Amino acid sequence: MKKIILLFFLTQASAFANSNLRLLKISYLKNTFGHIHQNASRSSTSLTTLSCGHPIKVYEVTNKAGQKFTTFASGFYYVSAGNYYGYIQSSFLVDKKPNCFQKKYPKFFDALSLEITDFYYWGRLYDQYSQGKSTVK
Amino acid sequence: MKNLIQLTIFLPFVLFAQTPEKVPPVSGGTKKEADKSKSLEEKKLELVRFDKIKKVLEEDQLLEEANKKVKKASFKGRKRADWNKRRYNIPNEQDFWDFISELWLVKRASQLQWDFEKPNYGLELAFKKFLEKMGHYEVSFKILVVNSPRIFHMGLPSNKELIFVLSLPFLRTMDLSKSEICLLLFEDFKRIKAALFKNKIKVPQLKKMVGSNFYNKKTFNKKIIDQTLNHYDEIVFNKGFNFQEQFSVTQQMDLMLKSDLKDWSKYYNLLQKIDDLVKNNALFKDYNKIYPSAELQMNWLRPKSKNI
Repeated sequence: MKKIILLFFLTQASAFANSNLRLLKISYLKNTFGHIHQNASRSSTSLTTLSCGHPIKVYEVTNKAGQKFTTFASGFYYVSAGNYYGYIQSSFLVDKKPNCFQKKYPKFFDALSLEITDFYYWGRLYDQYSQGKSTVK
Repeated sequence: MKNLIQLTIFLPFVLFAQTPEKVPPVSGGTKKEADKSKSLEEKKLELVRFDKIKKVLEEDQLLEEANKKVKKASFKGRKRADWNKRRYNIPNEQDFWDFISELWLVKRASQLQWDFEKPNYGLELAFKKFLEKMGHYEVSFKILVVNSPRIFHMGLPSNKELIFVLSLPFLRTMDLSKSEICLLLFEDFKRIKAALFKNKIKVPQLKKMVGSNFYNKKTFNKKIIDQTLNHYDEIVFNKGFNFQEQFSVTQQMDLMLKSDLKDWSKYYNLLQKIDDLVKNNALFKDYNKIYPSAELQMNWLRPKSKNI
């Protein structure tokens, strides 16, 4: 009986979570490494580190007032990758699978024997960059 | 009927035949891995050796079909071998420097102290406009603000997206405006374009390694990468640039900025500020070691007076 009650609450909880989110698209990480953040800020806690080309689900979020959001403060998407739900900068994602460095030079990349700390910092590096591009007027 | 009997006699021998020599061998992995990646045609060809039943095939007019199958399998084999070889490629000139500069930033994260919370200074917008004003279009760049006085400002070797490093303590002490920071970045931009930093990295075998392949070598020589990163340290923290390089950069700046005297005088004042800082603040006394020297740069910029 206890199990049934527990299952009931769990299904209710997940149903509530799903009603606020609508899958918008599946995008891919274009940077060498990247982080999914707890909040829509580049200095926010990292939930997980992802490698280039990792598929990421981008959601449209509906709040209690019924307003729909796709991008949050300073260009963040609400996304999920595996079991992790959080925020990532929209400029880090592309709609087509990118030509990643790791895929282009897999054995060279493996030979460098990078550690988990390096992966983490590499993701942070992209969060810390201020990126720009000059264009023709 | 005769053919059918012959085929039933030959088939068991054919089925247990050894791997044909025509299919290119796969190296760079275990035999199990190599077997896994083989195409269906190649696996079939390993079981059926058409050369042993040539006579039967000829009589059944199936020789052409068998040849087609052999050709298809060998083509796929060659393609796979080529793909496997390509996996051992070392980045070419275009990809290498962006990657190695980022690797250096990652490996020196604790020394450079770039992973800290900071507001958006809006430097990317200001520098984008400045580049456009100077006529440099379609230039992608990344600016990394570090919280360390060990580095002042530096343009790291890069091709696709130019990488600039700026020291927050340096900018704060100098109390620089956005337009002054842009001038510093533009100096670094000129250094990157002239490959001044890249040409200073004199690691033996590095030039040979970039864009090559290590398929036939047993292991990749990681020492070359480590040495390159150490050369980065040497240039950024100790050696910097020489007088000749500084002279050429200052001349280029002079030429570019002269069209707008406001910018030119801003640049001159910036050098004056740097000169004052270096002479009065012990924390930044090494600046002249890296960029010799603001005082000389001002001398080079000053119009020469002619004696009549």
